[in-house]
Amino acid sequence: MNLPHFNYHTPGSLDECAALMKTFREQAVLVAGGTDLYVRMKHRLATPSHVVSLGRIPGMHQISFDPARGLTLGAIVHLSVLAGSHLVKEKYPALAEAASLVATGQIRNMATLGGNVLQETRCLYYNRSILWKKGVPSCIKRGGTVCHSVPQSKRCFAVYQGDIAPVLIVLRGKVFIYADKEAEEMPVEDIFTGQGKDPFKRTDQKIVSAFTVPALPYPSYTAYRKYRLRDGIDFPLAGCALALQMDGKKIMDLRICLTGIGSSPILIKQAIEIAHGRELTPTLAKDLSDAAFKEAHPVANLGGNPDRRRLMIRQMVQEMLNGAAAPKEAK
Amino acid sequence: MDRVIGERIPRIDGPLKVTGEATYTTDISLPGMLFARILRSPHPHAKIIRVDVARAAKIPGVKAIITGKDAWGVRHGFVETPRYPADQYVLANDRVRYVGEEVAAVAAVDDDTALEALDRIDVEYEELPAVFDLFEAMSEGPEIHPVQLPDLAEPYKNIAGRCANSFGDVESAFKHAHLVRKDRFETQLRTHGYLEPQATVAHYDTTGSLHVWTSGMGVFRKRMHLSTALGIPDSRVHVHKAWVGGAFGGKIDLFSHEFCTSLLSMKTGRPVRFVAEREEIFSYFRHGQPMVVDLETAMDKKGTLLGQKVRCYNNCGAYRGSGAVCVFLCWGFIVLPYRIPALDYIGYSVYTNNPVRAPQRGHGAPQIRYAVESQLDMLAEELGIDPVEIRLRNARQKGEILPNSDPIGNAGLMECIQKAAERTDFCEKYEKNRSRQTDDSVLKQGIGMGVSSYFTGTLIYPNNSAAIVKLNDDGTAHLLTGALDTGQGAETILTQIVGQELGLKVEDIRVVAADTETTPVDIGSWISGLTYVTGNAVKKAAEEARGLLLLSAAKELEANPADLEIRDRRIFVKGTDKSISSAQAIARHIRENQGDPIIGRGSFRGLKDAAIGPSLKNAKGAWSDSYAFDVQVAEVEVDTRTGKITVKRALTAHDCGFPINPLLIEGQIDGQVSMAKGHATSEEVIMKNGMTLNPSFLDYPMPIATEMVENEYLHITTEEYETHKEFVTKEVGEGLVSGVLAAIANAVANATGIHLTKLPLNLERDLDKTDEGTGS
Repeated sequence: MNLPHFNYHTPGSLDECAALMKTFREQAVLVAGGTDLYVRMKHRLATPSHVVSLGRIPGMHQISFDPARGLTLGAIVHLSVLAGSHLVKEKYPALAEAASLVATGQIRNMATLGGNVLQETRCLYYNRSILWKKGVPSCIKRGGTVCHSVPQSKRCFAVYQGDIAPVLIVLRGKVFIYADKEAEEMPVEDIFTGQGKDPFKRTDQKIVSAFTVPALPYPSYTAYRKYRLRDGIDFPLAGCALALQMDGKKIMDLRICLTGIGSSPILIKQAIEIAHGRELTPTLAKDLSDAAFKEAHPVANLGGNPDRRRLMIRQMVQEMLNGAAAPKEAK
Repeated sequence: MDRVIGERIPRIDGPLKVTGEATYTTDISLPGMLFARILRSPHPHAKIIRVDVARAAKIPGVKAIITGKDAWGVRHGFVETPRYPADQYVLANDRVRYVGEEVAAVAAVDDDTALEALDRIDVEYEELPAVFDLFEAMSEGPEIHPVQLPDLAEPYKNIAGRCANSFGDVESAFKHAHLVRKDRFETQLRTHGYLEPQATVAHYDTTGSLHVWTSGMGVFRKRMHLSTALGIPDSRVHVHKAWVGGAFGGKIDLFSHEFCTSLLSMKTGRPVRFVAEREEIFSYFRHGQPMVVDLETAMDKKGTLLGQKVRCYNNCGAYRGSGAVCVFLCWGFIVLPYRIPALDYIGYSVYTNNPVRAPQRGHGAPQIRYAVESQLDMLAEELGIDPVEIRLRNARQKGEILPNSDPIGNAGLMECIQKAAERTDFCEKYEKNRSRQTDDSVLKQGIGMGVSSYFTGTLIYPNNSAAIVKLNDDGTAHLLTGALDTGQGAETILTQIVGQELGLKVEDIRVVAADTETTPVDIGSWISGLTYVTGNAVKKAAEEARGLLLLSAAKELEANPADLEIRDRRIFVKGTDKSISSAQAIARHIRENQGDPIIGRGSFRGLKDAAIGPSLKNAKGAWSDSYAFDVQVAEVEVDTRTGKITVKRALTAHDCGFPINPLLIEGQIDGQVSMAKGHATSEEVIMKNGMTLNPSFLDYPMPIATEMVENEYLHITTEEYETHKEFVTKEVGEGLVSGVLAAIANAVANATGIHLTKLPLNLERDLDKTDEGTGS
């Protein structure tokens, strides 16, 4: 299907962009690579009258590192650039890995970091065109009252399937939000509501301009694993990110975050409570993977079997932790 | 001269396609062209009480709207016979029978206006009970069509087709058997996955001719259907050539959009274009045939088949489509590769409120071969013999006669099995893998074998092919053929045949193809007979031209035509350097024959002694002139933690008669093996209450480029290409999707000890049985 008609704006600065967003308010939407938005527009899941491009705003493509402040990533760094950056690969390999696993090469060349983090939640019954939907009553996310995936439910179960947000979350990444010449900073996990219908906190007229990730304090291990049916193209049916910091043999910090399972990334808060000060043994890996498994409750609203998606969480977490332990044992 | 036949010649259409120059239907844009959209039923089963187009017609830019009233009683079918009359409406009349059935069509100045018009067509429905499961439809479901099969012996409902055939003493076979097994196998709903969407451009001109470009599989069959449905003579329907971006069985007969686009052009006098959305194709167009096979087999101690009882149940959707043909073909794919002394076969095709089904590469063979070959391995295990031995024991040999009296000629099946087993160290690997099924390893290896066989064209409209070869003054040639190259390389193959006969290189031959006004009739690219039927027609045409050319040259060279040969556009007296150019010989022919340039014509029809094809009711009658045989071996790795099945490599040993172009044959094998891999391990169209839940390439997990299977090929040549004689090629474009599908299933069983009886193969349930704590 064709895109609906809209006005396209290409502001040259953040201020100009913010002014446009203020003028058009809810009729406007920001676009970076458009790989999520334009498909949604073709399906008439989004029908903005004004599309405001971030592409010509200076500074939003930057990747820089400073030992004190850590890594700064402009919001519209392309995923192929992120995946290929030597700096990112060296210091935050899981971030580069997650970017490299998104969709396909062509899409990574267009898609951006900010767009990936802010990608809308998805569901087998929601990401369809208006023509297909003539056959079914509108679901909750589309303004109706039913959930076709969980018919007895009053809430929407659409799934957040971003690959990169869980990695930013385990790395204690922060997001910069720009409005009215001021920037607000918040942890990446705080932009999510946990709701399938409206997954992001209201940021009307505000612009996500950059992300920062602190320098990692101890010898650390970071990883991202993704379960999907094919070697490419697919969104994660389950994914998990891990950041582990050791002091000698003791675990100082551990963050595990899941994606593709619920309506937002799921940070496993108990992980550090279970692991703090302990040695990384297969038994601990098993306990931690069980903890992640207990937090995962996928329903049948994506491809693949939800039971398998849940089991994959346990397996991936266990394998990542065993992988983190393995090189140390070899020393 | 150098041989052109049997050589690895790259596709002549390759440069056009890789540079984007090739014109597909969606590339065609005519002045004043309108855009069509189709309004579809949102209900799986409903009466249409009222269709009101008044609001839509008022929209500026809407040029025509058609509804069932414009095509009252106009029906079409994949088969149209007294027993199986056409049952599908080009536009729904007073009832809709599946979600997506076409209710109205609009032509407007642009696509947005056409879409807007759809929203303003008011249709009042009265919903009716619907049925989606085939066994429910057979027992208690609502009747989807008022007329039932007249001679149905069983108390079943909604039977769209029934094929029954038995021979031998089945009861005795089972009574005296050493071993009997009964299993049910189920295959899923799969789609073709052609990349080019269904599309049609139609233009009804002021002289009363309808010009049509459409993404299809044969222009003459499209012409026949369009002329019948529109009520205009064949001669007024001109189907033009457009390149086709894949079809795989999914674009054969008439589709509603082809009718609607044509009628909208007739109503407006303007060109009209329709392009299907991918979501529409996944949700409402025709997929393959999902099948349930109940298979009961009697075997002696040594593993010899004594008899089989087979019941096939095919969910054909709301109209007959190719369902009645599919349940006949399933019989065929049971009796072809192995000797079965006694068979009791009934196949049912059952109406449900699902979208209509079409042939899909193999058309019944993948379903049947998966069932039979899986069970054969189970039987072999029980008897303690290996998969190779049990196949060799039952495989048909050279010169055997099929139950319908067709001879199988120089069948190379035995050789295929032996060579494939040797090349892959089959038995050694098979035993080693078996011994590791229960050890501690996480990754299990498996090897499996599957046998298949396929027919080489049969009689179905237009039955025959003809061809014209024109020689040009410079000695080059033009071939006129009705064949439509759907990507399989038809034009390349036919060019090679002309080149071989006329001593020309492929670049010296131009092809004019697939145009109902300028090229002669052609059987089409869909009945597995193009290389054989059209190829022989082209051969005859080229031979005729060659004969005239040599006759003329013989006069010039004062030699006997039999002593001449053609090389590089020159005609030589064999064994000498005495020669003239072809151009000189052609000029002499024109001079001496009142201006007659050399034009050769040829035609061919298979099954010389048969008036019609085999009976769909009882499988009696001649079916095909020759049969291809193959064995395929697949090697897999199974991750027992996740159930992930990786097809590591496959080997195809096949008897395709005479391989005209091994490169293209290997391309066909690559395509079929990878298609089978998808069918075996991941692909399924998921439906709920008549709605498709995964209607996109994102949601339908077809394998991607990096997941293609590494292939090895063994071409077993059993026929030769000779001058002045028909050549025998055997099918190679769709049968080879079946053996490897079965081989993958058997390899998974070899790796894990688990014989899965449902496709796509899903080990999750079986593996999770041993995975404690999953229920928490």
